[in-house]
Amino acid sequence: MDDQIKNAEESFQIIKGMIEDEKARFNENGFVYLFWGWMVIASALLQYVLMFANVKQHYLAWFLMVAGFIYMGIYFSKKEKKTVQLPLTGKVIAYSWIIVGLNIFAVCFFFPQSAGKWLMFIILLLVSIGSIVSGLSLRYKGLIIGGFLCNLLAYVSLFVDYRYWGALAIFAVIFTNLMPGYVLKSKFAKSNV
Amino acid sequence: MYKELDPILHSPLRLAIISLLVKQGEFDFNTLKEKTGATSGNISVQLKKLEEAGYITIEKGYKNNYPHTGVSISKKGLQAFEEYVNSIKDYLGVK
Repeated sequence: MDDQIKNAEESFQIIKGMIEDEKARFNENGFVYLFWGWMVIASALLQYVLMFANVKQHYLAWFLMVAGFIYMGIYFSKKEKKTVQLPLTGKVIAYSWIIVGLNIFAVCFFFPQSAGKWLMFIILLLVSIGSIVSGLSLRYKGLIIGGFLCNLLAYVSLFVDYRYWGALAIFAVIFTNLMPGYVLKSKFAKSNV
Repeated sequence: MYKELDPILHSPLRLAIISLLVKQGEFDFNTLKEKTGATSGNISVQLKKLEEAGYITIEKGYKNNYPHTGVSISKKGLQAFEEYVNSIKDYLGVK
């Protein structure tokens, strides 16, 4: 009898997990994708402005992203307090992007010279993997296609001068952040009418 | 006091359809038919009832030049399923 109750409890836990995963899909409002998309565009455009102004340290424009990391840290720490437990889908997405973000941060700020001409390739490759993992977890084709296009841009970056990397980054975030982000935002608005 | 079970979900075929959709989010009509073992007519009737209740959305279109019916669960459907599962847990005395 005890075994039966234990089995029933385990079965309900599995069902609860399924429900929580589906809830995570419905609760995805695209905010994080849009936030990072516009942060990258702002940083890339600022770098171009600094380049035209003949500022030697034009790459410092990307320090805007550090402000983004800090803001996201505060945003998620507030959100986590409200959430009892993150569902599996949410965990997969969150941990993938934490790893992607930390690696991009490390390569850009600690090893940019070692990475050399592979720098943008590494960044776009990591972003594409993050997008594909998120797209598969959320079962959202827009993110998966965006991830593949970003992967393609990673290879393009190997053949273009570093001055065009900002433009590549803008295209990459349009595919992986802005387009999927606005679709997710509109889906979220529709499902919460 | 036991809660009343949602009459829309308290039918074997409708519950099977919603359970499959919760597990995978969306299915096409033929896969649902295959998974549940029900006839096309019966599935159509149950899908209509679920759609009228706002538990699912049905999209009709074409895929590779063949008619394609996509069925996906709605937020309302997911909430109803969660309440249904919680009610069953109460009936069984499972924490």
